[in-house]
Amino acid sequence: MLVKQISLNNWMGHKEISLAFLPGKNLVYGANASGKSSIAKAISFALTGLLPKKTDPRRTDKEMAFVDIIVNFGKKEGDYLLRRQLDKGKKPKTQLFIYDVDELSEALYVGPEAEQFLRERLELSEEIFQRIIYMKEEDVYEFLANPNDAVIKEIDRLIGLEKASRIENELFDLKREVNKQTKFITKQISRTKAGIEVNLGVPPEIKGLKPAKIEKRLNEIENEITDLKKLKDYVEKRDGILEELKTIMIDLGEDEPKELEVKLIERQQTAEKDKETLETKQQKAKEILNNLTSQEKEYKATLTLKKNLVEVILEQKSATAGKGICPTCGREMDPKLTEKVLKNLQEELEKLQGKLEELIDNLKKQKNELKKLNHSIEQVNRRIQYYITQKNAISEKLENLRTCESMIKLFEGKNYPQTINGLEKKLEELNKEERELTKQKGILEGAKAVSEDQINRMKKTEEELKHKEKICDLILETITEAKKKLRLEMTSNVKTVAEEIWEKYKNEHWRIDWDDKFVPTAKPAKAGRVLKAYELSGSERFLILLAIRIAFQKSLEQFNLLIIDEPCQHLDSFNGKLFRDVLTAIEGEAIKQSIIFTYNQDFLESEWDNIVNLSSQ
Amino acid sequence: MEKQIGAVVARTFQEVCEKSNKRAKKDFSKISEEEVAEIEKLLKKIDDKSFNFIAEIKKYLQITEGE
Repeated sequence: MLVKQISLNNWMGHKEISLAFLPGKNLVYGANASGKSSIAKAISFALTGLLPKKTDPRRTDKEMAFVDIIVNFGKKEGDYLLRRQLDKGKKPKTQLFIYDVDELSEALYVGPEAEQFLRERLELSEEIFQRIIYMKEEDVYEFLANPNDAVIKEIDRLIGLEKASRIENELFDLKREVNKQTKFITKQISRTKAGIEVNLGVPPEIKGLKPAKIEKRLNEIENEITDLKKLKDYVEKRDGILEELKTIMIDLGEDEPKELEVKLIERQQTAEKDKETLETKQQKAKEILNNLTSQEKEYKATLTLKKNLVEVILEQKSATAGKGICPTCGREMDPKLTEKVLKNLQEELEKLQGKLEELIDNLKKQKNELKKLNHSIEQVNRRIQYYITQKNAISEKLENLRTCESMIKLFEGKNYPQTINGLEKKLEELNKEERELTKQKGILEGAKAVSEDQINRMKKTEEELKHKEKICDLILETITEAKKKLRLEMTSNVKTVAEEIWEKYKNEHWRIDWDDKFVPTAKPAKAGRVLKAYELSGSERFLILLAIRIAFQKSLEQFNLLIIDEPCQHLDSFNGKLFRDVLTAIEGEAIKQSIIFTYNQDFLESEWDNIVNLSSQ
Repeated sequence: MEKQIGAVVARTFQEVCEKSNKRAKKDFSKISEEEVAEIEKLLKKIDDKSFNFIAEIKKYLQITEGE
């Protein structure tokens, strides 16, 4: 791009002015307040469309203002006149017109179309203009004032790494946001379980218990309940036996249950002795009865015999007129004798009858006695049987009692209650706890199932967020790497240009390098050692700035215009001359056109392709 | 025209991702070819003044404030 001419009407300090520029080195010389910077700003306005900040650039708002600039964009195109028009009025409205300089009667493009045309040719914003083309005194001052990182900042600005740094900063914020969300979800995962337990109403005493612990406690309870039920059975059985034994003990007048058996055996033995005695008596009574029965038979036989004899004698007597037959010898007896015999027989019969009756009476008595004895024996037998039965029953009960007690003893170490009431109370408590734990176990298992599902979903989100974080990291790493690459490329160019300039114009071997933070280091021959940027002189630093600009211009073919406004205020006469020499000797390939604005007369001494003296305008 | 850095950044991103994927042990640390391609597309556009890279990457990664 080449600026051929600029014409200003009602622009800042200029009512009307027109300046021509040539390819190569242009010097605009003028005293203070001669409007040099206004011209530089007009070039910026013409090319970018952006008005100078803070001030209204119109000399007066009662008239229109124009900035006309004739440029050649290269690319084998002709010259164009760009007219930026500012309307009169309080707020200046601007409009762009583009003309073919060979046909000025009608604009080729107006307004947005013209802006579009210009954008296609230049894509030049004010920022880029300031950054690449227009080097102001303030830039130089700022650069000199911050030598430590000014070089790399300048390089970053020129190669567009500011936007990379901006993206980098915003990415850091974005990563922080994602990281915040990741941490939040991680925290949520750990809280979810507890949260679900709370929401499901798990009571505080259960909350600490994990389902496995509840399961363990439930097993303990189950075992305890089984134990207690068994213990209760044994205690009930023992108490039942003791109750039964108590009745027997009262019956037997015995206080100690274990002595009952002995007591019963003793009683049985006594009863058996009684039985023996009774049986002896019975035997005797039977014998007596037998004797009496035999006697009765004898008596009865004798009585019958005697009666028969009496009847025979009586029959004989009646048959023989009073003579009877001797019952002993069978001879006839006289009636007297017969009578006597009959009388004796009658008396014998009576006596015999009496004895028989007495015998029968005894027999009856004896029978009664025997009956009583039989009855007594029967009773004794029953008693013996009772004792045997009781003894057997008690033996069994005592055996059961011993079993119960030994079983009860097995539970001694477990500190269980020993009474039925105590056991029932304990069982009731355990059953209640079991019911509650079973319920809570169900709740916890449900909660676990729900929370696992939820946690899995959250873990997925967590992984997604970590992946996003990773992507942010990779982009950040990329930007760091890309910045490094671009800086290396650019600093390499700057190094070459700076070394060439220095060697050519200061006739001094001068080597520039960059440390790991891209701070330039140099080894000027006179210093004899490596100097960091902040140790370099003002002119040396400024040289680097110029080298950076030139190196950058070299890397961007389409921008070969350099505008510098008051460049050498901080340089002494020697370095000022050096700088002028450098500027006037810039190779045409790098900078095809330079426009230097200065009040410094010394510049007039150097060689220029075009000098515009504002003082003479 | 300003110096274009989008192409360099996009190319560098591909290299960085290749190296990272070789090192990555966990799934969430790996970046797929499709993701690399999509993000490369976005990075190539960073020189465009009207292109808001952060807004676009947020949209692509579906990151919302206080997600």
